[in-house]
Amino acid sequence: MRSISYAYAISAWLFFAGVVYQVFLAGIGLLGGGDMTAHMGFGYLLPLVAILLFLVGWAAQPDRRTFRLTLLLMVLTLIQPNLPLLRDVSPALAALHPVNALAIFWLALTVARGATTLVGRPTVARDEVQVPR
Amino acid sequence: MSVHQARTLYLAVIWLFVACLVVQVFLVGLDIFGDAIDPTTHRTWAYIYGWLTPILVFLGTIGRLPLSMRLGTVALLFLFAMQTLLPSLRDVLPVVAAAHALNALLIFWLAMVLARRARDAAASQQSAGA
Repeated sequence: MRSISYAYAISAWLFFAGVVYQVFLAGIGLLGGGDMTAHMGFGYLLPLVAILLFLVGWAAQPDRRTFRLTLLLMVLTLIQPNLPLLRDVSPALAALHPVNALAIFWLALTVARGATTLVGRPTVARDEVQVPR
Repeated sequence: MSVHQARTLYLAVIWLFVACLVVQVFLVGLDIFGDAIDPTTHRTWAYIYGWLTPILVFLGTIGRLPLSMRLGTVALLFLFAMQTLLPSLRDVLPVVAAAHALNALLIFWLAMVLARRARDAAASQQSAGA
């Protein structure tokens, strides 16, 4: 169980680093003389990592709050690449793309910190707070 | 102004700042995805609520907040000032200008940390007074 906790913490911090990198790529595309190709390409990879993080989180059995936040993180990350596609139908909804990015950033950090706490917690104490299945 | 009043006001102003940041990011979205009434709204809005940062420094000092919080508030003011300058570097130093988006994340993170700590500081002041 200890190795899965480590895997959860590592993947959560990797995901967080990915979010920060993705925002940097957006900056490069908008102000750094580049285009949005790298940002868009990486943006399709992040939801896959979010799904993986959720599955690892499921196996690691964190506390209920961290598990729910991991689920929410996955949902918001899955929505994120679809928001810009709405620009012709509803520009206001598409404009939520950067706002959703802020939410993903904050959630990713919260989940990563929660997952790190899990690594240091004894297995017995963790088992007292079971994740709903 | 008493310490308690300053801490309560700091708490209100920092959350107002966070709300303004979220609006700011939404305005960026409108700029990029097309429905912006005026593409300069994003910039103008920053100049309007940017005044909250020196007010926060003042309230943090009057409210005798912990040193780490006061330094954090000064850092927020500094990062916000930097933020308004970064886009102007796009022709000279594009990679530095690209840090505009990353700096926005940093400002958001710092504001959220300060807001949560201000809530704790206001609560401890209240319980000490009771």
